[in-house]
Amino acid sequence: MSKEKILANEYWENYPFKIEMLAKKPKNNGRLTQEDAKKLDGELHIHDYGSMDSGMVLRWYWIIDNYSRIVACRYEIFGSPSLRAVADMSALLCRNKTLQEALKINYKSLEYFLRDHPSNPALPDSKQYEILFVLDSINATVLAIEGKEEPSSPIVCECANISQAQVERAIRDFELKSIEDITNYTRAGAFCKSCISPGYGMADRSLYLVDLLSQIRKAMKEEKKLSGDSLVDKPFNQMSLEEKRVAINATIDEHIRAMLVMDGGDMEILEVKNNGEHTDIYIRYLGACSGCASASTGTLFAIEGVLKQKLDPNIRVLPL
Amino acid sequence: MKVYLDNNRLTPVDPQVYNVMKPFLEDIYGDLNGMHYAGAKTRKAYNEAVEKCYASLNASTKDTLIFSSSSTHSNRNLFMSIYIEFILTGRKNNIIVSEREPQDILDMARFFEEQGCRVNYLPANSDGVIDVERLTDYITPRTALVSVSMVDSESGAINPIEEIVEICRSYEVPFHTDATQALGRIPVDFQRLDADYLSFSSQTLHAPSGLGGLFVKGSVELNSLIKNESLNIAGIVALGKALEIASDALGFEVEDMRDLRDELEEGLRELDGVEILVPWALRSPNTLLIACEGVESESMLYELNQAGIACYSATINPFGDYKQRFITDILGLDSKFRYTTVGFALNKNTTQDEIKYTLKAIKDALEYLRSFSHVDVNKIEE
Repeated sequence: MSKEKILANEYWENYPFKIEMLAKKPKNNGRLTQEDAKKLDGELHIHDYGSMDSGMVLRWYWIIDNYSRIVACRYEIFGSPSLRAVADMSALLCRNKTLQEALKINYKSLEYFLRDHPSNPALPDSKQYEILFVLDSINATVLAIEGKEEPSSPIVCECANISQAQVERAIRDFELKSIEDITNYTRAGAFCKSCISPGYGMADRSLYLVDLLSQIRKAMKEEKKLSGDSLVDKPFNQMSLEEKRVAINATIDEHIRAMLVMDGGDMEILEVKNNGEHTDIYIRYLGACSGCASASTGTLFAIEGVLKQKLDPNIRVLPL
Repeated sequence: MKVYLDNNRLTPVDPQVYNVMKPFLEDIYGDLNGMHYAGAKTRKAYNEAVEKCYASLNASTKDTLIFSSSSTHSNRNLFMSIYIEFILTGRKNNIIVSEREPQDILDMARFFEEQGCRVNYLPANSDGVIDVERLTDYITPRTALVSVSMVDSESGAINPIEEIVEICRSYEVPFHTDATQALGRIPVDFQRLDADYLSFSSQTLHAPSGLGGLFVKGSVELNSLIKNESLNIAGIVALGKALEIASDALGFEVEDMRDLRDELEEGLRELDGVEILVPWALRSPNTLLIACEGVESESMLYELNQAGIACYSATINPFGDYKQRFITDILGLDSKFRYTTVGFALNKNTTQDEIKYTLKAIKDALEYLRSFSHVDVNKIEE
């Protein structure tokens, strides 16, 4: 037991303003018809994800034009208010993206867009699974439209209908350490608890969450050892050029890339140079960012600002 | 308008109760054994409160009442003493609890299982009440305890306690019942019931939460684990008054409450795609549990909360973390109803205006939420 467990759980009263607004007045809910599709000169796709047995259903209405771009996006939902808020935000983000771009929406960027303030998480731990549910539904919809099938994976938790692959991905992506975290992020083990470890419930299983967790944690540890790509623990100005490059890449992945990708752009690092006491970073913009007017002003200052704040004040970013 | 319809979990404190306990919060009061004016004042109020507790449950003078901090605490003490006295010594090897018990009893049952004791869960039938027939299958002379709560805290189903007690008597097995949801709603007579243990809690009696008690039948030998701790005098005085009011209310006030509940029930019965769970005759007079097709519980609670209505759901964190089976599965409804339950528990102060307002708010919320639910509205109407 810890203090966190003694404190009372918070529900709607402390959700961020953004979530509250989206839950109260969702803007993209409703349905699209064939007539709408005709007007927009596209094709209507309807896809259901989830089931009423497990308490969450999301039905996507996507109108897709000839360039496989989602020109209109609406949803119908059976789920909690916070799920509604997450679905509404992701509907907004999906619009005017191609299917491949929609696949690129990840947890970090979606969660970032739901935050009021960059440093406050959007949803409490016990609701994280809703963000993953919406992302999974987008994935499944894109796969269904492209006519592909999801790779099959054994179901770990029947109550919440969660597969082994989903649990594995959550453990890897969020570096989960306990069964409770798994329940928060996937909802596996939230109900009858028979999938957590032997002893709960009557049925014998071949796969328990406890075993799965320890297996994957072990595998992750070994992978980390092998890759050697981990960050070294010393001040930035004492790092070698190669170490600096790794540190800069990690910072960009964590704080910057998500913002660029959401607008259809990206960036890459060309070269890192020591220039006296300064460190010069040469970057190239990709996608929509190349040629964007703010690429040499606002965006550039934002990137430089983040790197200066997180790593070293003597960093200069030079776009090519 | 603010409407509070979550009274199975907590009830607001009655002003009469507050007035009775006020002197013990504001003024000087002494220890029960104090040989002075302050002690005398406490003794008088305490004795009166205990008399009221005995009188309102019609307990015999030979019975014992042990105060604790809540029914949870009482249940836990009882189960621990049963464990030490019977299971640990190897004299008995089995307990029987109903599957719809409060969470704390299910937790204790789990503890018994971990210690290697056999635990049988009495299933509820399709009316939501405990199946008496199954008890005779499970019960043996080596059963240490049978525990079935009097009224289900979510659905309000009234369990056939008297028949269960009869079976327990014939096998000479101790019987415990949790009457937290029953007091002040249905008549409870400890002598006529003939149960060995009966626990109750103050939070459903319009008394401040944090007080409970356990009645033990006079003929039962008391284990040293079950005994009074340092007493919360203000709480006990409040509990005595609250029990007195509750047993007085059983005549008119409960009937009024039942009428209001029925009004709400009739209004909801007319709506499309709304199922009323548990038959009317088997339900406590203040509780109404519904399942609305195509509308998720939490979003329903959210909309009603916007309108100022506090109610509960039997799906999300019902009275604890999890239940073995969903209540809708027990009642034989389709699995699509699992996450759609919303419950309303009235108290004796609920007014007709509040019920009318609630009914309108429920209709509005259903219409709004179904407008973007993936379930086809036209199909529901058919």
